Amino acid sequence: MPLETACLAFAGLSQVARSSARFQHKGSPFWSRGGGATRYSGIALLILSFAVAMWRFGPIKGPVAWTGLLSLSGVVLLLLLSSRPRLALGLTPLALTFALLLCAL
Amino acid sequence: MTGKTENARGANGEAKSGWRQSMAWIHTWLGLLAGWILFAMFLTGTASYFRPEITRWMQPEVDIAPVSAVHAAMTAVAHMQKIAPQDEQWTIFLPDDRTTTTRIFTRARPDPDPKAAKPPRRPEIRVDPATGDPVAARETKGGEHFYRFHFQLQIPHPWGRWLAGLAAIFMLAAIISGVITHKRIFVDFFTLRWGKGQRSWLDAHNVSAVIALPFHAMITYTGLITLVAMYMPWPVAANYQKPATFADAIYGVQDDGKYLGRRAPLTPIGPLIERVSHEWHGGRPATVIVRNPNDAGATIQIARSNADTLNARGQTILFSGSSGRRIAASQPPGVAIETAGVMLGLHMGNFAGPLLRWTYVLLGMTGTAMVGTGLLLWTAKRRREDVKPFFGFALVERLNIGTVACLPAGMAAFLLANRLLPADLAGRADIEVAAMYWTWFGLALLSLALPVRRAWIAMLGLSAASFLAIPIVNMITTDRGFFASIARGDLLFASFDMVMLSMAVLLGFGAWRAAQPPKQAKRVRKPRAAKPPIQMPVRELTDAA
Amino acid sequence: MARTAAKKRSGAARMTVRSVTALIGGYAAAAGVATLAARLLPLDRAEATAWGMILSFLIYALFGLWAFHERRLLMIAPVIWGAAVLSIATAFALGVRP
Repeated sequence: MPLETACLAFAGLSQVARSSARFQHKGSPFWSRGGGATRYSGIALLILSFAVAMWRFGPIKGPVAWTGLLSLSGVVLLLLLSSRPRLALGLTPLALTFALLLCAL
Repeated sequence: MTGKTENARGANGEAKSGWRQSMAWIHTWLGLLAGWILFAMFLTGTASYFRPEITRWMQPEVDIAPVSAVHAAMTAVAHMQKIAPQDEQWTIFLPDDRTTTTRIFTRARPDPDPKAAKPPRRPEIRVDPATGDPVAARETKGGEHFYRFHFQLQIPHPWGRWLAGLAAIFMLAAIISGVITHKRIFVDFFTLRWGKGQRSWLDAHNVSAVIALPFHAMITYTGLITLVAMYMPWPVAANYQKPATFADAIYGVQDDGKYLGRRAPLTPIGPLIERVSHEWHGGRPATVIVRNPNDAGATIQIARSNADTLNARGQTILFSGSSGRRIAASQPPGVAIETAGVMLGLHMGNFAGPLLRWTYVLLGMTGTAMVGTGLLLWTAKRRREDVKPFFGFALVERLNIGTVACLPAGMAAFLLANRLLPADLAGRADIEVAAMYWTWFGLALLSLALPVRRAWIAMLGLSAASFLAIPIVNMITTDRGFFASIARGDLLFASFDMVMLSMAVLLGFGAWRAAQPPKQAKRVRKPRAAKPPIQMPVRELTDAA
Repeated sequence: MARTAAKKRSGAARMTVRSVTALIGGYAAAAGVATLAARLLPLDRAEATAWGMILSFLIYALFGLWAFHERRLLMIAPVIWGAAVLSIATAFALGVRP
């Protein structure tokens, strides 16, 4: 199953979430120096997931697949974020690795 | 009824147009009036993405090996020649990798006497593509039931479709007004707080709506488009003397075939299928429509499968039914017609492979959650512990229970009835359908006898139990139980049981949450006359309910 | 007492007029505008028809929402019913596309 799009989207959304005001404040365990860098890396991952979707599903189904998988990753991220934020945000590297593996297969 | 558009001034004195307030007000009313129907449409529509899989599950006796399109077409036509050679039209849906049987709809020739009664609608015929014999399995509506309910609501034609259409336009307006009224739509993207009562319901409603907003908007608009010929036929009347001409323009070829009354044997279908696949460079035929079979004026129109393209209306090629001569092929459609076809394709989701199909289903459930949380938010906002609820509140609360908690049980009852009714019982297909309605409405009525909180717990619990029962009953009454299916490598039956279990867990979780004692919110009761010393800027979301 | 009861009745009456205008007038206006557009757009016949049909729902929703935003009934009713009557009448007058 071409899940890389979803994994990359998850990672991207997770980075964007991490960079949001909710998690970026002094005393937050997610505080990172490069707040902007986190957000941009997230956006970059989202763009990458779009490219991967176009590659996997073709130019016509690609945007449809990307939109759907992006939303779905958002739902998953959101449910995790609301109960286990550390886990949710910490899954980024795992999602990226998974995506890489799937792309290679 | 207040909160409309007295020219409101913002915190800095700028004139606000009042769009947020007016849209908040109408959003609530649209959601409330259409919410219960929309919940049912979303839930059954989501299930319909597995229409053929549900049908296969409901006929466990059937074990059909795939055959070529040529073979399937030949056996289907041979079968129809045996049972209804003089019908007006045979519509043959060739099997594919998800629907293993050949499905045939046929229309009898109308009596030339205008005063004679119209022939009754013929039921769907399911045929084994390998042999052409009717599928020897228990009679059932299968996944068709949820699919039909989704846009007809079990109400006689045309009222059911009109009601569904009304709900859909309400949904469209609710989406637009919801977006306008949602103040901090991006900032709150990831906000979901549990256990905070009304806050939580608002979060859940906002989030389920916004995170899958492209899907919800797409599904709603494309849903209206699926029945646009019924909802908005007027432009056709303004441009065409005969509406049928427009239909030809959309569906492909102008079919001028007429019933001539002269008998002529139907040309063999096999070579036509082969020609068509060749012309489409390997594209699969999906539908064969034979008009006026065994007549000199017979025509055969073959439509291409839409499983590999977004446009649901695939290419078609028209042949003469008596000679086999190729008459015409559909022209590539213009932008507007292609757009309509793509919209139809997006709604139906036939193009979706396994991953995208599951995505559709999960997003559909998110949509169901959006509607459900909206309905529950309405009551959560207005619940007053100390005051007896006003009639409207009680009505909404009871309708909520009756829909959100009882409809799932009804759908499970439909599946359970399939396993529990004897396979050779006459009329069992209708009894299965009746089981859904008796269970759904019966439980809804029963819930009226319980106090609200207990009703939620009981009905959600019963729904959970009914889904849990499905894999168990399946294991007892068939040889395709969970473990047997795993051993056999039968992915469909095994994953079906898993989905039933997941539904049971989800509903059980709901029942458990409903049973938790309500959190006592710490409210500082201020005497009415007092005003807050400093006018704090309001950080809340505009209350959309 | 009588004044508030009367006010309630007039409020209900206004709401009814507004709702009927939005629901039925809105549909008529959307259908009329869509039909007129389909009839007049300088496109291929089937294309124009299809565009009219596709866009009609959006037009309906927008008319309907506006009917509940604009406060003055005297603005909403003439505009929506007027649009409906005008567009439908014009479409009839033009007749079927030759």
